[in-house]
Amino acid sequence: MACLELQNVSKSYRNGGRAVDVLSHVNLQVSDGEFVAVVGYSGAGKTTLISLLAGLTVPDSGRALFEGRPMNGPCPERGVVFQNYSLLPWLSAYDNVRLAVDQVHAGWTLERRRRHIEACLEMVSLLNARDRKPAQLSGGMRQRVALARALSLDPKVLLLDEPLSALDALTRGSLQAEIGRLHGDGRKTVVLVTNDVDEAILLADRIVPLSAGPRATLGPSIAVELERPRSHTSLNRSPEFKRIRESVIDYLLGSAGRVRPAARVPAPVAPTIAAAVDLMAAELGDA
Amino acid sequence: MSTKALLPLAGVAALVGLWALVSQFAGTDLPSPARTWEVSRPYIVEPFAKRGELDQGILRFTWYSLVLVAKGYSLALLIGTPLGFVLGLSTLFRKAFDPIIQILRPVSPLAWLPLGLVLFQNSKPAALFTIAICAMWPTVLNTAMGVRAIPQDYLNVARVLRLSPAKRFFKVLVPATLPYMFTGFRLSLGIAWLVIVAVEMLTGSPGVGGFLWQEYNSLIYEHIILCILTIGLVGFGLDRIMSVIETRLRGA
Repeated sequence: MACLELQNVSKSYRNGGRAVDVLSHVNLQVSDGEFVAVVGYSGAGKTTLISLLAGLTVPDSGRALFEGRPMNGPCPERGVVFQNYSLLPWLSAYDNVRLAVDQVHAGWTLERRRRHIEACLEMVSLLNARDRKPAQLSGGMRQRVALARALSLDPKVLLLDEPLSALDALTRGSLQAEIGRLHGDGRKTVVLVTNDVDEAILLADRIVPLSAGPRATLGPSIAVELERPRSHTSLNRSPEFKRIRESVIDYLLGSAGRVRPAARVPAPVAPTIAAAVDLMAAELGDA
Repeated sequence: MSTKALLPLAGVAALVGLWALVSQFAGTDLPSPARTWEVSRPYIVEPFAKRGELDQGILRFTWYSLVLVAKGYSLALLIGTPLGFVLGLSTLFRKAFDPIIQILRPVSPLAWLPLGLVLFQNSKPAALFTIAICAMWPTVLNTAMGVRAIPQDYLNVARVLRLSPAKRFFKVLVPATLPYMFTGFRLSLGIAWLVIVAVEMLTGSPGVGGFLWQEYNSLIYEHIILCILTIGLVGFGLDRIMSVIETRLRGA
């Protein structure tokens, strides 16, 4: 039995009276302990996909299952780290985690809860920033607090919605390592949604490309059978890495009706920047 | 002294000069600045003196007004804040009541007071009623706006954690709305202070506004100016205090 499952799920939104079909006939199975990365363009419906998996959104058609049963709204067993941190700005890092712990582990003694909160902050190396408000933390630190909060729930599944896309390259690298380590330690089931192909290959057991929207759908899975622990340096030398990367990018470009230039593979950041440039070009074209 | 402090002083000097000039023209009853100071002096030098019901130090009158404002203002917040939350949370409620609010909001305190007197048959509750109903709108509207402006992310956090409705309200909705609420509170206090003068004039209750009206009737025009300056300074002080609290909240 799959831990998380989407069966033929479609979802559309009303946008000023006009229905926009975001996701169409999406099928996804995530097994226990698996790390799945969904890679797709900005605006393709990645956040919608995570919302469906979290239970924050209900499918228009098809079914969303958690441990074989239809989801009944969101629950702390599926911890979510949102794209824009979503920390409560009036609470310190400690209190943000505490809100979650007090709610989910209400049965624990005060002392046990305190130790748990501290352990979670320690896990993301933020114990010394425990009393700072989100506004006093850098983007990377905020995202680590959000991660600590999600982990403090002791969730069965961790859902990560582009958690690193707003960070600079260095911070992103160190947090990628951190996420990889967390997965390795706890064998937690993780679904990561990202627009960074390299990040997906670095972390995931399996990559599922999301075609360009509207009516985006998931493409064929690509297994990542690279030795762990992985690092950017070791990956760059691996022919297997290049093969995986090309097949993901080929699928994404193909889904958008474009072909990859035969001669050269796009630079590592290309999918992100290219998507942004495309988006800007599209907006200028509209205006 | 820096220009920063000098310029406002120059502004004050210019205005007092203009006032002195106008008061020199024959045919105006406007008292000159010097005369105003002379006649007002006993009221300023002994601000808490009580020589008679109608003859008290200026701060004593101000205190009466402040007490009345505090009562009316508290009433406005007690009614306005929950009303704002309901309006912000329920689309149904908002659609039903928004038009009425937009119509009632611009009604002058002078128009509400007689209705208060009809309703309560007594000038004291009528005064409170008038202050409350005039002052509560900024609180209502800002609170409602604050509730509607809460980022979906915060609400998603509450959903994922499965917070109970009460916890959701006190741990997420109220703190997220607080800065907006305080903007409303500050504007409401400003209105309450505006209304007090009109209310005191009409009901004849003791206070700065009542004093002002009584001195007009007694032809002591110097005291009108004293009252105007006092009202202005107190209003300014109240606004400063509220804005300091507001900035603290926004910074948090």
